[in-house]
Formats: sequence, C-alpha cells, structure tokens
Amino acid sequence: MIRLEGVTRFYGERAVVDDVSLVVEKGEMAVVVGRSGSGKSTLLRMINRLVEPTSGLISIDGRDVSTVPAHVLRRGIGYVIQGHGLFPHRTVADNIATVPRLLGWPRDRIARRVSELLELLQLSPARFSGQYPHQLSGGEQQRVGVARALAAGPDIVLMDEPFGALDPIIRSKAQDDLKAIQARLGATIVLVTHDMDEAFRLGDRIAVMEAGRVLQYGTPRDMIARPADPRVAELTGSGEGALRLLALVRAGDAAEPFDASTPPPSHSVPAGASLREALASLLWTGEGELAVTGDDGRPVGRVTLASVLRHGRSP
Amino acid sequence: MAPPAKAVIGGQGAGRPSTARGRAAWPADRLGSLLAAVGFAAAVLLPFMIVKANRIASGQPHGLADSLSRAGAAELAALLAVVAGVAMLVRAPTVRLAAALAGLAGLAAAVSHAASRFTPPGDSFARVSPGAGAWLMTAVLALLATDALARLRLFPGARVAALALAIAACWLAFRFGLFDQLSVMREYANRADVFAREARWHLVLAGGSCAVAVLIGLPLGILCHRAPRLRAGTLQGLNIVQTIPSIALFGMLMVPLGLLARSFPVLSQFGVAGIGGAPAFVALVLYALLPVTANTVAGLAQAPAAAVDAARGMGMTDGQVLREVELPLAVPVILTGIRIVLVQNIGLATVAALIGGGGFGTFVFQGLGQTAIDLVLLGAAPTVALAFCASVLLDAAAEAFEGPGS
Repeated sequence: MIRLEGVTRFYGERAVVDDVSLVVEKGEMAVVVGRSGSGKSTLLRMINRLVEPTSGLISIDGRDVSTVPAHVLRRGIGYVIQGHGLFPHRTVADNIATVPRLLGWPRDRIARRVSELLELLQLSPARFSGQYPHQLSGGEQQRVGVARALAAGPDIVLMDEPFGALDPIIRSKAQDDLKAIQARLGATIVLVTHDMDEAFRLGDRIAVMEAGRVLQYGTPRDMIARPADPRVAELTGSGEGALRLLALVRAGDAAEPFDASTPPPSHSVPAGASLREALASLLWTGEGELAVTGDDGRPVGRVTLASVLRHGRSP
Repeated sequence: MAPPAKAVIGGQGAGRPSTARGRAAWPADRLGSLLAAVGFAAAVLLPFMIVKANRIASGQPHGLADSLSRAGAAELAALLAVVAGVAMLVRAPTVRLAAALAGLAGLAAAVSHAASRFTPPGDSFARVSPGAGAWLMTAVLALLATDALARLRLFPGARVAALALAIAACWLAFRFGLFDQLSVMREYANRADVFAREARWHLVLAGGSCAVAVLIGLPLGILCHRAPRLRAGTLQGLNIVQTIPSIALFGMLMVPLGLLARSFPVLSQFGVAGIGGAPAFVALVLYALLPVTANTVAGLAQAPAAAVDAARGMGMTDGQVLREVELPLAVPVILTGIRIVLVQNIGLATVAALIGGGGFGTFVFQGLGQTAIDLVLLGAAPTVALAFCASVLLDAAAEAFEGPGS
C-alpha cells in the first residue's frame, strides 16, 4: 500500500505538485493522468525518491520512504520509463539482470530469473538474451524494459509513460499484456500517462491531475458518473461517457441466459470483449442480440441491444 | 560483435568508391589515375638520387635511368607500370594493396641498389640520398596502400596486425642494412647510441606526459560532469593554456620551475630545473589536459538521459551509475581524446629540444644548425612514424570499445 499525505514539491516559486493525498491499495493499478506539465511525473518520481518532496509524507506499507536510503528503496521498486532507458552497451540478459546483480543474487539464480522473465514477456530467451537493445524493435525494447523492472520481483512498480514510444497497434497489445502480468503477479502499479483511453483501459483507480493538484481520484466508473470537477468531465470527454462506461464492462459479465423459446443469435462476441465492442457489432450486423462465447468457443449466454443500452445509461 | 561503423585508418580519408562506373569516357579509377600520373611525372621529371661530395655540400641530381643499371631501370619501370595499371583499372582492394606493397618493395630495392652504385669504395665523406622523385613515388605508393587498406574496412584487430607487419618489414629492411649506404643512415651510424637514448626519452616525454594528463584529466572531467558550475571555468582555463605557443609556454615555465629548484634543492635531484626535461614535461602535460578533460566531459554527457534515469531509478548509487553506465559509454570518446593528445605530444616533444629537453628534436635542431638536412630527417622521420603508429593503435582501440552497443 502506497500512501501520500499532503505531498508538495516546489521548483523555485512554483508548486509543481500541490498538496496531493491519495492511497494506492495493494495489488491495484493506479493511473495518474494529466496533460504534460501537470506534475504527474514529478509525483511518480517522489515515490522512489528520484525527487524529494518539499513537504508532506510518503509511506509504503506504513514505512516512511524518507527513512530508507534512496538506493535501497529503489532496488525494491520496479521502474519503467518512456523510451525504455535500456543500457545500450549491455545485452538484453544483462539489462534484465541489473537489479538482481545490485542485490547480490548468485549467478545461477539470476540466469534462471532472466529466462523466466523473458518467457513471461513472450521473448524467446535463446534468441533475445545475447542481443543488444539497438537490435530490437520498439515493442521488444519496451518489453525488455518491463522485464528489467520486474526482475527482482518488486511489490511495487512505477511506470512513467511506459507505452509512449509505441505505435497504436503494439500499444494496445502491450496494455493487455501488462494487465495480464499484473493479474498474475499481483504487484501494485502506479502508471503515469497523458492518454485518457489508456487510463480507462488499465486503471483500477484513476487520478486526474492538473496544475499540480489531483482533481479527482476514484474508479473509472466514478469519473464518468460523478465527475468532481468540470475539468474532469472535460478531460474524460463528456460526450463519450456512455461509450467509456460500456468499455469498462465485459460481455461475459453482462450476459443473460438463453431463452429457450427464441432461436439462438446468428452472431457472437467473445466473453472477454467489452460491451462497447458488442455494441459496435450489434450496430454493424443490424441484429438485436449476440451470443457470448467462452474461451472454448461455446456460447455461454447472450447480450441484447436493450441490455447494452441499459449499461450505457447515465448512472 | 557488430561490424565497425567506420573503417578509417589514422584519420585518412575513407576509401570512397570510385564513381567511374557512370562515366563511359574514362572507365578508370580516378584516385588511381591521379596517383599514377603523379608517379609517372615524378619518375621522369624529378631526380631519383642526390649525390653530395660531403654532408653539407650541394648535391648532384641523378635521374632514374642514371641511377640504376640498364637492366635494373627496365625492371623497376616495368614493375611500376604494372602497379600503375592496377591502380587505374583494378577495383579489388586486396589486389591494389598487393600492387602498392610490391611497388614499395621494388622502389626500396632500387634506392638501396642505386646508393651502393654511387658510393665510391672506401669513401666515408660522400653522401647519397633519395631525390624528390624517389620520395614522391614512395608517397604515391604509400597513399595507394593506405587507400586500399581503407577500402578493405578491416576490423580494429586486423588493422593493428597490419601495422605490426609493416613495422616488422621496416625492421627487417634496416636490420639487413638495405639502406646503410643512404645519407640518413650514415648520420644514424655516427650517432647510434645517442639515437637510442633520445628515442627512449622522446617516448618517455610524450607517453609519460600523456599518462599524467590522463591521471589528472580523467578525474577532473568526472568532477566537471558532476558539478556543472566547475565545468565552464575549468574548460575555459585549459582552453587558454592550449592557445599559448609551445615555445612561449616552455619559457613561462622556466622561471617558476627554476625558482622551485633553487628553493628546494631536493627537487633538483629529481630533475626539476628551469630548463631541460622538467619544463618540457610539465608543458606537455598542460597541453594534454584540455583534450583529455573535454573529451571525458563530452563522453560522459553523451550517455542517454533515459538510461541514466533508469539506472538511478533502479537503485544504482552515483558511483555505480558512473562505473556501470556513464564511463563504459564514454570510453570511445575518451580514447579519441587520448589519441589526439598522444599524437599531438609526440610532435610537440620535438620542440622540447630547444630548451634542452632532449628527444628526437635534438637531431632536428642540430641538423638545422649545421644545415645538414639528413640530420634533420633523422629526427623528423621517426617522430612522424611514431605519431602514425600511436594514431592507428588508439583509433583501433576506440573502435573496438565502440563495438557491441552501437
């Protein structure tokens, strides 16, 4: 659990981060979203003490971070930045091994861990271990950056625009992968982005920042349903609220049982798809309902246009 | 290891592929044609050998046909014609290199042969030296060889091996007295022991001052990198030192070092004095400081900001960031600085002889005083050769370190 209390950082006369208080629960992904210059990166960098707060308190699992030597603190926290920041003179395997080596792990344990992480990030160890960063594609470099951050199995991972340098198609794949990895590892993640879609897609909670202050901190549903500030509504896109709501619900969760009296629907969506995708499919096919299929491809229920519309209504 | 980004030896122009293919009118290699033309003009128009009655008398020029027996002249002419043909028409760098080396060997044999012919038996006053034509042909063939080497794009290790082979070949030529009849070697024979001493001292002056400059400049550069406020002042100060002419700097150091030696007589036991080796060494160190420090600062600064941020963010201490990220990435740039310094100091050390600092400059200034140009050559030629070797070695080292990450 990460707790920020009244955290403020001045650069000269200007408060870049102004009296921010928020709590990130264990195993949650909190996304800090805001325009450039809103103070979101500075806020993130204060958690691992790359920037020291002017005032306020930051604690991790109840322990004040300022009481831990900065380099010791950072070895326990994963860190991923935009443009990956890989060491150009070291191989992929050496890059990933950075923190375990700093922690003095034995060599065979490091080697095992590196292979494990490469597999987790869908990079073949045989092919990639010995390569240098400049030999990789942008998406591969980004995944190596994530693997490096996870190397020592940190409870907390800080990510500063981790997908900023990727093109849109690779980015959405990387976002899905991150979600899956987090679900598997149960790490607490704080991610900074300027992309509201990314925030809604990834965040268990979202903090909207503007001019150093957090305008609202809450679940994506809260953001749309009860914006605390007109600026939040503007940032989340008031006109798209309904679609954002639909994007938050999985078709499998909204599925209703089949009605035996009617014939089964002719089109289907996978259970993992969002209601937003289901709506698009309904509009496209002109049908009134869709079958929802499980992982094995067998229908598990159905969604109707009426139920989709109900989910999109203002709460 | 990744293929080298560039393959330039000692800073000569890289082998630009000839643009001849597109020009039907002149289908030959342009550089090769130019070199062949210059070589031909040198062979026909300029004296091949100069013969003097004694070391300071004015010389008698002899053309190529005069200098050799009829058969010898014909053989050399045939060999050089083949080399010229290869230079103009063959594109394969290995063939061009082989032709250039064969030409050089033939020329060396011809010069050696001619020198024996012109030396009267038992005469120890006559001086025979290569004329402008022989020198120019040597230069043309050397250029052809360097160009071929550059086109070969050798790996750093192979370039060092090529240099070692060239040194071995020269050593064998001198060892078996190929050039003993030439005037430069006559001068050498009279001073063999002094030559060895001055050569050692020249190396100590240039190499030692370079080493001391690295010992001071590297930490200074790291300090400047860490404390930007220090940077501007330090680099400007060193820049000013760099602009002082070498003789002026030697002169400026005479007074303080002389005073120091007089106030603390112990120091003079270690060679500290107003003139001689000490001021020369100190001046060379001062000249070397700017390139070493400035390149250290530039090298450290070029580490990608994201990599340094990531290194800190993962929990490296300042020292670890320096040792594991910034310095390894800076090594090629620092080595380039050391190369500049070593080559510069090998040349500058010659001037040290003016204030009694010793080194190859001793022969240069003695020769100038006696108007004995062969003696000047005895000092100048090894200086140039030394600078060339240092440049090739450090260039190869810098490129080897650049290897994997780039």
